Amino acid sequence: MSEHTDRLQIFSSTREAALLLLPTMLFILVFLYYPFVETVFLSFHRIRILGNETWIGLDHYVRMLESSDYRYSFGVTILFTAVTVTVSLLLSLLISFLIHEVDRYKNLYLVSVIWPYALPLAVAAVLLDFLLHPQLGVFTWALDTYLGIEFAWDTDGRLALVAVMLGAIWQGMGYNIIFITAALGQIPSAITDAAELDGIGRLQRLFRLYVPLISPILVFLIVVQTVGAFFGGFALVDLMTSGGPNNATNILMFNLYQDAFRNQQFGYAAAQSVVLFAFVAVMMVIQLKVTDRYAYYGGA
Amino acid sequence: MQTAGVTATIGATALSGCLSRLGLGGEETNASEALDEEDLGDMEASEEVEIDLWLSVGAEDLLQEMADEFAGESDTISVNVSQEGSYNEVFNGLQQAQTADEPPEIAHLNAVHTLPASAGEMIVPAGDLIGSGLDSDDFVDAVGNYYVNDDDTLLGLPFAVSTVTCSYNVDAFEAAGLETESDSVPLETYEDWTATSTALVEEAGFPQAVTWPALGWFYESFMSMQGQAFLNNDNGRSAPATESLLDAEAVREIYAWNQSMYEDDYYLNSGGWGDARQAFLNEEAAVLLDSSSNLRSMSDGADEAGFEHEVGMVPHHQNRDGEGLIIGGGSLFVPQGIEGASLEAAAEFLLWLSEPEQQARWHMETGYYPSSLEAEQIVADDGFYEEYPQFQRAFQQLKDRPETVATAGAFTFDHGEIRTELDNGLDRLFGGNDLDDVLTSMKSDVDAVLERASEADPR
Repeated sequence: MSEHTDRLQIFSSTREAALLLLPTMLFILVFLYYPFVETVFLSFHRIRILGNETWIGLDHYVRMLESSDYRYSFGVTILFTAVTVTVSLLLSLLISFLIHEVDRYKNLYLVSVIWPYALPLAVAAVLLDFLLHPQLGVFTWALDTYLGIEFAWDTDGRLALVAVMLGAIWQGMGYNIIFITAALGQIPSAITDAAELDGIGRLQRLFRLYVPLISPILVFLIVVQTVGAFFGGFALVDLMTSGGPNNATNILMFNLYQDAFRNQQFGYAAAQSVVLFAFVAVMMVIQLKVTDRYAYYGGA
Repeated sequence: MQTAGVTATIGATALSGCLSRLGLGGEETNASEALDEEDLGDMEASEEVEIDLWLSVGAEDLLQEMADEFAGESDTISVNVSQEGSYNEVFNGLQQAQTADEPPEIAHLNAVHTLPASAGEMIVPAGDLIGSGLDSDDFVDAVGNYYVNDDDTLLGLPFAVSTVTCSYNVDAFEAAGLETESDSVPLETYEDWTATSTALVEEAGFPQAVTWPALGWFYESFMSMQGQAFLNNDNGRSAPATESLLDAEAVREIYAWNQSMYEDDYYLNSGGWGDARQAFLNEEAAVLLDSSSNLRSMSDGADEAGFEHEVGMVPHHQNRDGEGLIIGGGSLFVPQGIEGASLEAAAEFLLWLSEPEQQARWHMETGYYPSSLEAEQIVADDGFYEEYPQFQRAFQQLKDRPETVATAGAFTFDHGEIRTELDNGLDRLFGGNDLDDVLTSMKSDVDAVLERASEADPR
């Protein structure tokens, strides 16, 4: 028998299969690949008013390389991503473990920690601004009144970055917890019982036993959250700091938006978009290769 | 990996979806040829037509109400007003609509978009459309002078024009033992503001005395009050500006004063518009610099909060004479690509809006300045200024200003980005950086933007 006929035959003709695939392919082509190709095209042009384009080759890419503001923005984005993904995953793991261990009110705890994720990012940002506002915030007021600590993130760039990171971590944990709690629930109780009989402590049980067992889920979360941090911090930055003070929270996605829609430099913004895409794509490949080595998918 | 790749592509897609390139819509219209001047002012188009107006500021309901009145008097024209976001969003939206060949008949753009819109041939000069029907002698100089090109052709119909305005809390001034009458209130010079702030904090118990949004427009207004142009080449009006004048002594005086007010805890750095206004209404600060467009709202808000609201002066250094304020706000433009009955309707509606009666109503209900002197007279005859004298006081400051290079304000491409650099400089100043370092870095940042801006400027 040929290899072709070995395969499960659902459609009698390839034409029928192609026809059924067509809507999806068209959708992807029109809304994904065409705009992407268009973005690459735009990145080689100077566009002051849409529709009036001048070919400038790689000028935008050279400008990006030479721009200290862009390099700074790149650094801030990597820092933002590294901190939010690491802290958010670690905290989520600990909280999920506690929920997994607790006997009573499990669902209540679960709902209360997942709740922030149900908030749209824009609403979360407004809430956080209310809590953390440098002059009017409840949290900052308490810090100042009881501990004498001034959390002036409107003028201190480092604190502003901390405020935005806190927001991203708080908001992102719910998603992680849903997956980690589900994964922990799948672990056979016999393993836990055996570990307890052997007298293994709780934290050891978590990091030595459970983490390797749920590693595929953790790999998935690392990848998704990294992409999310690169593309998703926008709403928090836009509503809480507008990239300031003095560009301290000007992550790449916000910088790109500013250049396109506030500064009307569509070509330059398109070039930034292409670089961001390429960077995240390459990073994902590396990340998957590295984490795959440590993830346990079962089997020998 | 597929998820990552797809999501990353979406990031790029999000931008490019808005950047589709199809070329500017329609043939360029020679408006003066397309319209019959004899019919101008009859409030009719050659056929029944509904036109769209994209507004960038609030008061959408008010303008729609006015548009409905206009439609009630016209047999053929109706106008659909919609608030389409901020000035930037409307400017971007207009470009996208033009690439898709579906621009609105009238778009409300910010003053800083005047140059890119006209140089980029996005708009039909308003002067070509309705110039013969306008009484340009009746225009307030400050307004008429901003929106004209080299041939003195009006580019857009000034609408929702504003300046920086000073509001103060009369009750707080009384409690601090200060003069409260607007003619003699101690708010004219930097020295006055500092002394007044001391009294407000020490005598009236205010946590901070004064506030304003830390935004570039306010500092450009301070410069014009100092008689100082912001950019070279006559503020970018005689030729594209290539350098900012942030190294001038008059500019240093502004920032030095602001820095000392901040360090003494007299100036509340409230960041954006909303926070500054809230701070004033919550009596965390007794003096507010704001846009005149918000006068009505501040006046009503103060009433509700239980204190009396008055209008003072935007300050200048004590060793200088206060020159005058630059204008802000926006203007109504007719995009290229509008033709036939739609163009006639847009012209008729613009002409109607420019009439003193409409300008007077818009002024009274919002605080935005009228563009015509006759409108002011209508407002005065109506007795409005007796009830709200602060409106007249604010408008007077614009009317009385001398027409100089400084008060004309900067005219350049990338003005929005330049203002962002001013904002960043302020962040550094309030973050504790040295004043001279801040001014030097701010100048080099603004000059770098100007280098690109002047290259793009076709003049």
